[in-house]
Order: sequence, then C-alpha cells, then structure tokens
Amino acid sequence: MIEVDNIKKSFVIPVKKDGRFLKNLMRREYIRKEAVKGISFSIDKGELIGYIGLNGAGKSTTIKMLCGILKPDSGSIKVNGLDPFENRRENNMNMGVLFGQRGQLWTDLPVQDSFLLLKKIYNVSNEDYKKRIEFLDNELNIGEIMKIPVRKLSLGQRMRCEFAGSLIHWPSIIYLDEPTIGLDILTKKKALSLIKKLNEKCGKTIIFTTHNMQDIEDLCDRVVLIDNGKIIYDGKTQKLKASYTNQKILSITFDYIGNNDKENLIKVLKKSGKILNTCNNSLQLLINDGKIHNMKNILNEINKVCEITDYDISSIKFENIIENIYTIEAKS
Amino acid sequence: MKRLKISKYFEWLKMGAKIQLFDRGILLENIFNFIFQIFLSYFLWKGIYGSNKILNGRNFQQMINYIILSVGISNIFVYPNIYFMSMDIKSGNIAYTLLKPIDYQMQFIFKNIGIVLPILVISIFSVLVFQIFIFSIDMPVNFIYFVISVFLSLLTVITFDFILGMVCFWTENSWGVSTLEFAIVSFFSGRLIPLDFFPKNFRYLFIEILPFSGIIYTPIDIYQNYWSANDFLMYLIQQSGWIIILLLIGRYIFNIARNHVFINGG
Repeated sequence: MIEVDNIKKSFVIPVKKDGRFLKNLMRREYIRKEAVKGISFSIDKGELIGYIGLNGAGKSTTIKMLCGILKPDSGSIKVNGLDPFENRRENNMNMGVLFGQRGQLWTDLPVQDSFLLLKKIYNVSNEDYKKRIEFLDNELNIGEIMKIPVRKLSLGQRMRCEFAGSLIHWPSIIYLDEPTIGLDILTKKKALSLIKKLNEKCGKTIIFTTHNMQDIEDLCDRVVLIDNGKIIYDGKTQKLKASYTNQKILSITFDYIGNNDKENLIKVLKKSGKILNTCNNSLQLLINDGKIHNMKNILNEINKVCEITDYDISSIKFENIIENIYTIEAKS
Repeated sequence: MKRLKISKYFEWLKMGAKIQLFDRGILLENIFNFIFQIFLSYFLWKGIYGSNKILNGRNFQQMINYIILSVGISNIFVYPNIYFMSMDIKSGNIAYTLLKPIDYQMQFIFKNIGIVLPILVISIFSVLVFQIFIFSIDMPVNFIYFVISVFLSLLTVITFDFILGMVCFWTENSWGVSTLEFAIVSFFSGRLIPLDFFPKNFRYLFIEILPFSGIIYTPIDIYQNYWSANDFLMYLIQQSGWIIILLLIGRYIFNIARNHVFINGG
C-alpha cells in the first residue's frame, strides 16, 4: 500500500557566525544538513506501525515526505500507486494527519465550524457526517465542546477535537505525529484506545510516532527505528523484546562501605553486568543473563563485599531496550 | 491545473466572513478610522489647494469626494494577509492547508473575498454615517460599473497579496514584504494622490499599464465620471487580464516554493 524506496532529503540551513555582523549582512554561509540518508520500507494495508526516532533523527522529515508536504531529493514514494507530492490533492482525499504540536482547527471559531468546513472539503455526506460525529463523540467526548471557540478550550479538549477533525473524512491512512503530547492520562488513554479501534475494528493503516515507548509497546505490532537519517530496526515489536527477555535490572541499597571495599564492589559488579547508575548507597545494574541461578550468584558475590539492605529485580523495560539500541548506534 | 469543484471553495468564503464577524469592535473601529483619515486628508488638501480653486481639473469639492472614496475603498483591505501567511509558514501550520485536497491559491482567494464582505458592508455604513452627519458626497455616475470595478479592485489586491505572501517563504520576517506591499499599493493605486497629478510619462505608465491603478484610481474615476460602454469594456478586459497574470505568477511562485523550501517544525 505504501512503498518507500531509498528516499533522501537534505536541507540547506543558513549559518550565522558570532561577531561577524557585517559579513552576515553581506553574504550568508550555508551548511547542508542531511536529514534522511536513504530510507526504504513498505507498509501493508491495515498495519499499525510505531515510528521511533530521537529528536532530529529525520522522523518528521520522513512523515512530511510520506504526506506529500516535502519532496524527496531522490528515491520514490508510492501511496496506493500515487506519488503523494505530485498527486497532492488526490492523495489527500484519503489521508488523515495529526501533528501533536500544531492544529488545523480555526482558533477563533467554534469547533463545529471547522468540522463543517472539513465536511465540505472532503465531500462527506450528511449521513456519514452525522454517524462519524456520533462515533467520535462516543470515543472522545467532544459533543459538549463542539460549539465552543477553539481558543477557549483546554489543551486536552483541543487535542481531542483536533484528533476528531482528522477523522471526519474517515481516511484509510492516518499519520499521527506525537498526538499524545501534553495530554493528561485519561485523555491519552481515550486517544490510544481510539487508535487501536481504528486499526483493529476499522482496518485503517496507521503510522504513529511518539516518544513514549510504553504506548508503542501497547499499541504497535511493528516498530521502525530511525537514527541519524537511516533505519536501524524495522520489525515486530515482540521480536525486539524477545531478544532482551533474559535481561534483568537489579537495584540494590547497601550499608556504608569504605573506599577500598567500594572499589572491590565495582570490580565485582563490572564482571556481572553493566552499571546503569550509582548513588551513595545504592546502584542499578543491568544483567544480561537474568536466569535465577545467575541472579543468586551475583547477589552472593555482592554480599561478600557489602551488606545489602534492600534490593529490587525487574525486567528490562521497552524504553530501556530502545535506549540501548540508540546508545549502541551512537557509539558505532 | 486539475479540475476544481468551485462549490467547495464557497465554504472558505463563509469561513472568511465568520472570522471577521467574530471581532465585535470592528464596526466602531472602521467608522473611527474612516472619519479620522478623511479629516487628516481634508486639512492636508485644504493646505495644498491654498488659494487655488482648481488643481489638475478638480475643484476642492471633487478632491474631497476623491479622498472619501479612496479611504472608503482602501479600508476594505485591512486584513494583514502577508503577516498571517508568514506566521503560517514560520510555524509550519501551512502544512495543514497543504494536506487538504484543495487548491492553495483558490482557498486563499475565496477566504479573502469572504473576509472582505463584512467589512464592505461596514464601510458602506461608515460612508452613509458620514454622508448624513458630516457632509454628503456626490452620487455615482454609474453604480453598476462602480460595483464591478470595486470587485475587480478586490481581486487585484488579493492576487497581489498572494504573490507577496509566497515571497515570505524565503524571508524570515514579513515586515519588509508588508511594508513593500503597503508602499506599492498606496503609491501606485492613487490612494494618497490621484494618479493624474503625476507628470505625463508616469501618468501613462501608472494609469494605463500597471494594474494598481485599478485598485483605487480607476474605480473612483468610474464613480465620478461618465464612462462609455466601450471604454468600460476595455477597462474590464485589461484589468481582468492583469488579474489573470497575477494569478498565474502566484501559482508559479507557489510551485517553486513547494518544491524548494522546507516547512518548519516537527
């Protein structure tokens, strides 16, 4: 359904050097930033994909190219056979986009007015419109706020309305760029459950970016990780987690020990795993082989050097898995 | 250009009108502006006339009529399009408009016509208030011709604004472009000084050739003087031709902007 073939995009950014005020007025210097360095993937109908990337990794640039806002420098994108940039208007009929940081609803006018404009633009029939508003009201509770000017709504209310607005035309492909940013926990839950419903019950193809790893873990069957303009992982979420199931995080608190003992402790710990963080009397250790007999051994070793007063053992979080991947990438 | 379903765009017209009506102070503001500007011009021109009875074929009464009409028409174009467009571009909000299955320029034009309509009504109201309480102006020679010429004036301003708005893709701040727009339109349209005050060569260029005279000077000329059907038709064709050229330039720059500039944010 969506075919992305080796797309690249770089930007030319003017650079102002400090202190060279007059020179800056005369001639500008430019640097070329390569945002996307050759990305390929394909998405089938009905997939719900999590798109993860650090800030500045090229995530938003990719989404913008998929939407048809930006033209790739090279490579091609085909959405249902259409190039989203060249066939902008045709492609847009079937596409919904939500940018978490920006809104499309007219701020001075009641939400309803913006919705009616969308209804007109996308040729939504009266019955379809009514059905969809009812559905969206059930999911997002927007019925009571539709007559209020957007400017007067709280952030949560506004985001719910923006989300609803992106669905009025019932697109088959939806791009969500950080839709849950700044939302309280209840609103976020509503939004996420709607996303799941749209995908599972309504068969919509959804591409979802967020910095919240828990959401991706809960929602997305497949994740794509982008770093520095390239894809570093594209596959099932479960598979990613599986390769880390043995890992455990051990947190221990211990009685005060002298410097000598502390050095010994650190030596022992380094053998057993990776030190995540240390405080005066506590530390966190990442252990690769989290099987129980190994854990017992490690605790015993530690106990020889110091008196453990408290401990906690937990599975590695998805967030840490991702963090790990990025750290490894950064080193290489 | 792909097929355009014009009926879609009328909704933008409605939206444009709505966002103006939302501003309740606009009526008073418009009347105040109107009266204030006319008073300023009144005393200025009184000074310029001095002891002369006629300047450039106009007596003082006719000059004041010109000023009133000039202020009345130019007050219609108060919406700071260039500012809003540059804000949209800088914030990246323009992305949303580009994500709709609509023609960007058409949406802009219809929205602006919608924005002008309430102000037009208010402007006429201001003129009537002025007419009743201060002093009356002459009736138009041909009302229908005048209305058509104001409509063409509106389209000229809108298409020109669009082009300058597109230029904001390349500038960081819209102030320069706004000022340029203000200067060009004020000067070449005859808003400040009737274009026939200029020396002969400039007069020909400004009135006959450039499109800006169609914004203020020509509509006032149509209001105050007799125009034969033939002359009016010629003007209609010429001004429409200019509007089409401005439209096409706007589309061309839009395409360049879309291909070569990046959209902020994200």
